Amino acid sequence: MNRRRTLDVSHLPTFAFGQRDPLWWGVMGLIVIESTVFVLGLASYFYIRGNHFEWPPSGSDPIIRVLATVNMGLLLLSCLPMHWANTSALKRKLRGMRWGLVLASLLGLAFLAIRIINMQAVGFRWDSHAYGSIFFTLVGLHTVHIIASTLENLVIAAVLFIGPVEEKHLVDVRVNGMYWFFVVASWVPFYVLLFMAPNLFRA
Amino acid sequence: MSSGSVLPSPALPDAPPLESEAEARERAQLERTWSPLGGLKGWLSDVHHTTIGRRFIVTAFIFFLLGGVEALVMRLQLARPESTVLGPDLYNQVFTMHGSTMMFLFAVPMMEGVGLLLVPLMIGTRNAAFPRLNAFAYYTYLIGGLLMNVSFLLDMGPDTGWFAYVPLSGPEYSPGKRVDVWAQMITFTELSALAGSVNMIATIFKLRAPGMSLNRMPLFVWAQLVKAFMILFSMPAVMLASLYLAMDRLIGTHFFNPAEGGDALLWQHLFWFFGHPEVYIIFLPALGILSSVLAVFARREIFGYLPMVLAMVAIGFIGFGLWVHHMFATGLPQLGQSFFTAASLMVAVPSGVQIFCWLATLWGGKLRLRLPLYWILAFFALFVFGGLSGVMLGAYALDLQVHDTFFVVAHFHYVLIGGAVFPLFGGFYYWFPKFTGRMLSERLGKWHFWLFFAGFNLTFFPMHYLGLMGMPRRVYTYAPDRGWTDLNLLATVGTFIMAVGLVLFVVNVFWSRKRGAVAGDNPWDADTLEWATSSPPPPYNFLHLPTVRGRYALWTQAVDQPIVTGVRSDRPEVLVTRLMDAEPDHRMEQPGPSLWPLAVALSSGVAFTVSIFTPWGIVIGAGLALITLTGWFWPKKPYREELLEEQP
Repeated sequence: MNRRRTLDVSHLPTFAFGQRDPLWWGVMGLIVIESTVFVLGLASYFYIRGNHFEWPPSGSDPIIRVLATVNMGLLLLSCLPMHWANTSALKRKLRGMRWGLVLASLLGLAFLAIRIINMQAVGFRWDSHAYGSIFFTLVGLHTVHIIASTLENLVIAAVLFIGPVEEKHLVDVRVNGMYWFFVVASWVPFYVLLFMAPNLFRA
Repeated sequence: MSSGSVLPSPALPDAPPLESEAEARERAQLERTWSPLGGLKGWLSDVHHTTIGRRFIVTAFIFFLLGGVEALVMRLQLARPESTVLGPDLYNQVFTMHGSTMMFLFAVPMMEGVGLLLVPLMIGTRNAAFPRLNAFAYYTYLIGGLLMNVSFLLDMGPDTGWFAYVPLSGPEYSPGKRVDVWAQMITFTELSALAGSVNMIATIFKLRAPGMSLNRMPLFVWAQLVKAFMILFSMPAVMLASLYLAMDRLIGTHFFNPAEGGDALLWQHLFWFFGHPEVYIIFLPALGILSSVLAVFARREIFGYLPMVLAMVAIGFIGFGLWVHHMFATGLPQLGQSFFTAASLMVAVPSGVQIFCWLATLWGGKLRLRLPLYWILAFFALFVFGGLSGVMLGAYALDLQVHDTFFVVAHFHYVLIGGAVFPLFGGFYYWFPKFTGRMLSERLGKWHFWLFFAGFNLTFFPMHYLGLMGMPRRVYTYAPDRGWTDLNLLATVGTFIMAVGLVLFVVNVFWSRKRGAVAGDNPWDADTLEWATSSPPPPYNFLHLPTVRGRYALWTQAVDQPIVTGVRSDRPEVLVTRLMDAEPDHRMEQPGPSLWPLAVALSSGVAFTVSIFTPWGIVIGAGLALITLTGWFWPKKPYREELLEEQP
């Protein structure tokens, strides 16, 4: 009916992975925000530490190295099933996505259980002193991330079990996996600093 | 439509006689797909960027008027020495409300709203990337604003200044709930700004019209992009700081308590690490407005596109390196003094680059002296003036002399009102016809401009002198023998003149909405894509998605500039393009209207408000948020051809 020049896009797909996808940028934005929170949390830790000759303050050794290390290991281990879910999304395989997410969530729940035991075993509270405040806040912030992320894993797994499953859910699985990797990786510096070497970088 | 029409581009999508039957069908289908639902539910569930953007702007403007009334009351109190309009307690609440309202409830959300309203139109798409997140951002902001203002009416308004320094705001010196209300309001509005920024970045990166490569984006879009990145890196600081403060007050942590190893200066560092970039977060979008208006009213492209973009990015970086100049009076090592003085002066370089580029634009342009340009020209005078006092304050030695005096008040009102509110008004006069279809009255507008301009200078210019004479800010009164009386009276008179100007503006808006001259699609002969659609834009923004072949989309379009076809009109679908060069990449279906964003905002409202009184608020709110977020995420009626082959 008219000879206006057109740019036909009807042949283009309806979803894409990675940085082609707007949702990937959304989650990346969230990761940037959370990273900034964590970095500023670390900065607060060092700032408060600068006021102390003895760190941690005497009588408040948090170092339950074994539990903390087991927990770090659980988180790193959870990356394997998450990776399985991620690659299954690329291959469009339901089974890997479902069970990958379920396994990662179970490891997340185990992590949370150990963390509760761990935090009960430290000999101080958030209102004991400034060290306790920053310690509990940093651990608490990360715990909130694990809780939220585990619940997110479970909700996506539920969608994959109940259905109907749409193509765009493949994208959801991928970006969810990316966020989980971030939550795991972000704990590494805190694990080292809070539990293994509280006086790191100190002259 | 015949191929022989003059502009076969989307510039004339609303010319009914030329519209073919196929186009009419397409239009009707788009109308069905994109229109909001009816009734109250439709109103609450609307997620389109023009609706949400307008709500942001209107709400922020109402808060601006409230903040203005608070300023008027303060000026009444200060007009005479030993006045008794306000007592000291109420005065503390009023200046805190004024500052917090203007910074958190007016300036940032207003710039968010302007960006949200304009950016998707300017880049030629049908909606923002995450429509429901936008709705959530708006409701969260509204709840935070209401919380603070209602508390103020209940005599629970915050009273420790807009930056709430500890130990004054700590549990020992501020018992009661006032500071808690402030801290939670911060959390709400920052959450809203963060959600809005993520949305803005994804929208700008992925939804630009084919052909609009990064180096062809309008400067307004660049400004919004840099602003959004600054928000991502700065707002977490104040959220963390207000979290520490709330915890110190509610559950007995010791972040700011030196007796238990905490540190009061930690608050100032975290607050200003946010607070200084905040100034540029307000200022950068204003620069974007400025560049849009200037190009159109100087009738030429902006001089030095690349230096302008680089200058904005440079401001974005340098803005993070000078927060400590707010803390010169806290006792810094000499290295710190020198470093932060140098960093503060350095930001004058990119600002200067921009000013000279704009001047060169004016120099080579054929000026049309219409109302939007008035405000922009005034900006140059006021902003350069405020910038000069800024250079003075950025120097450590001078800052110590005038710290916490009215000199500082004068300086930041010159840069914030001169640098942001003046361009905002210019932008308002410029874009009003696009969103209402009517022009604002030029005559009332000139009254508004001259009264506001004169009143502004009468109010704030004398404050430089008051500051140099030693009048501290935030005092509720002063003795008659100080010699501050006349200048204070002058400032108060100026404030009332500004207020009269504002009243005329409001009258103008209400009158012109119904009776102003009909504007047409592109009354200013402007260059950006929002002028290529009807005024006001339809709920789907463009009948045919446009393509672009130059920086000034409408000025550079070819006679046979192609349009995009093949994006579905029976579903809310948008075209996703590549990050750098905006080649078409895929089509994405968008979520439609939904009540879930409101529900999630309400659950976070419960969490933060109840937690002022008991820590259990967080637990209750988290439970509600889990339920509502699952509702938000849960898939609805899928399309058969988009199902995965393998099903449960």
